[in-house]
Amino acid sequence: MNARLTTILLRSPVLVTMVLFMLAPMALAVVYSFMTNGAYGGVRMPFTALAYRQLLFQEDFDGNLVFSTGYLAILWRSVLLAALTVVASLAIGLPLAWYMACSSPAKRARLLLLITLPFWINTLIRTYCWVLILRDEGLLNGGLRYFGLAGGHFLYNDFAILLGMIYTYLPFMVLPIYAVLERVDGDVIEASHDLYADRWSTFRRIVWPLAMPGAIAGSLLVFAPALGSFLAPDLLGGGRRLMIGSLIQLQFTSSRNWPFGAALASVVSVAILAVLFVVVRRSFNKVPAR
Amino acid sequence: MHAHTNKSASYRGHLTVNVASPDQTRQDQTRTGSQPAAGPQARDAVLLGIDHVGKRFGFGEGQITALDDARFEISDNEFFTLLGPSGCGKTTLLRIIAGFEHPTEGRVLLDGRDIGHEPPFKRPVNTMFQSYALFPHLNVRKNIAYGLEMLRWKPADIKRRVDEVLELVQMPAFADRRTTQMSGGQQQRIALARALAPRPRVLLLDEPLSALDLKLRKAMQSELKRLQRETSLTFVMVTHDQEEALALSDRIAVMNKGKVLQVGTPEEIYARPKTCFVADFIGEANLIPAGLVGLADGHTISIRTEHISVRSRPATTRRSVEAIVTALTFLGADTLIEARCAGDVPIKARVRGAVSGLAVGDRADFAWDHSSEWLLSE
Repeated sequence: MNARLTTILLRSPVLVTMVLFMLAPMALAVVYSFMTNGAYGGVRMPFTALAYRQLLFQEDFDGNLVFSTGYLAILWRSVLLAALTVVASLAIGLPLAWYMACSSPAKRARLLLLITLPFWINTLIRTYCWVLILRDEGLLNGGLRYFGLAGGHFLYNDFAILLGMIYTYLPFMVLPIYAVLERVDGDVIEASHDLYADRWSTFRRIVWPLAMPGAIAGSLLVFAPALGSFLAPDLLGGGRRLMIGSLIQLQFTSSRNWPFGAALASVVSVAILAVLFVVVRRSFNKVPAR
Repeated sequence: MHAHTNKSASYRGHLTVNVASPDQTRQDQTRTGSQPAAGPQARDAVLLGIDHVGKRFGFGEGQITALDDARFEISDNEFFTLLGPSGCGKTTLLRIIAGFEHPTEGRVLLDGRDIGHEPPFKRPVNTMFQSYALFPHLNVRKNIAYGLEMLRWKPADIKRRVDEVLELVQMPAFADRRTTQMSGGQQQRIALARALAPRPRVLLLDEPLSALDLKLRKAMQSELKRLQRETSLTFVMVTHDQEEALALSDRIAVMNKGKVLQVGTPEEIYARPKTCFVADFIGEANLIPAGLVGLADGHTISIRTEHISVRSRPATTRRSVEAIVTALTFLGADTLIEARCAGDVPIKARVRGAVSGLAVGDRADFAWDHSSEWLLSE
């Protein structure tokens, strides 16, 4: 067997996996988005860009096309929410990962188990638990009233959505940062203190730069699913504030507009890929400090 | 040379008894003048005082004493070594001086000021770590500049100082290299440069040579000695390697089980160990019960292996014991003869060259001069 053939054969499992599970579905979505809406769902010929037109323009009563920001606003709101989720889970996840990395090996294993424990329970159930906690007659209000404090309406607002998103995606932030920090030699921190850096300087100059690759990976892992998520917005936001994930989901279910759903999905994918591209390129330029 | 016991010893043999006191130790130093490394430098000013320092971990029954009542003084400009087996408390003491641990008892005096409870970033003390602990995301120049930046030096001064220390450790071409691509020996030089850069009052070296291979270790030994002379800094080194300690140090503190057993120049510690442990740990010493050679019981005498001669007939003028040879090991320049004398006490002799006319199982006479034996009380 010649070397070239060996190389191709060795690479083939990766290639097949990537094509089958990543490229093919995305290509399918792009193809669907350029097709015509079927009457009872599904798609049919001919090819058309109607779905993309629908994204930006609305037909008024006279049949004229009017530029509309309705769908773009939903997209923007979703990006904002996903970005907020990233920032919040970074703010919580970084200290948590650092604490875990500094713990004794036995404690690390326990904490790691705790972090991954929620994965064993269905996301829908976990999200619904937040409804039970946050609703007007829920645990939170009950607790507040027990201590003589005024309760409030915690459910069905943006805050509730954000809370649910942070809760769902926090492990995706903690784990990559922990994986990076765990490999950091503890002596390096002591060396920083030894060289006249106090705790804050040590964090800023040593811990944060070393955690950076994990933070970037974690941010991507949180941002991508947060942008497309529909469980938290539907259950905790009450579905009143439409997010892009819910919107896409609606197109494939009750609205029966597959091309439009596919177009929305494609736009989101392109947006995520663009962010990914920029972040990865920037971090690759940055990490090998020259 | 005369033998020497503790104050508590009440030995009345024909050996001269010398009661140890710190003052006398110092007089000995000046009298013998056998400090090759000391040179013309003044060694009076006390820089670092370890004043009854103790460190205990845990509470109650599970409490562990890592360090017990350590006290000695380190002078300005001195190469001082903490020597002992692993777990003897030497690293704990080094970490206390650095500020990574705080003493549970006693004081750490730097220029007369107690710094025992100050954080490491407030002490003019820098450490060269055993693992080097270079910052992996920074290049060589930024690693070395780190401490200076924290001390808010001016950028121009930082650049000049970094170039200077790189020159000092003979790595000027490496300023813009990444530390992760360098060999262990190179990384060590950078770690040394980084610790030297802020001109600390005390430079701490934690097992600096243990990770290097033998050849590099020898080269680095003379390098460390040169650096200490050129920078006129006080070096405090931790090691478990007695050869390294003897070769480098102006003075050595021998430690075991959390206690400082003896502090003195390499010559003193080698020739006049205070305890059996010190005698045994520094070089190869024979520890023979004094009763075996007709001296008072309860004491031990120590004789260096190279001071023993082996012959088939008893020598009358010298101290000797009869023993049965158990092993002969040819070591190139020397031959090591191992034997057992009365009471199954092991005795070893190191004689020049190869040995002829002696075989395992032979009865031989192990003899030495009175002047080369040393009386121990513990």
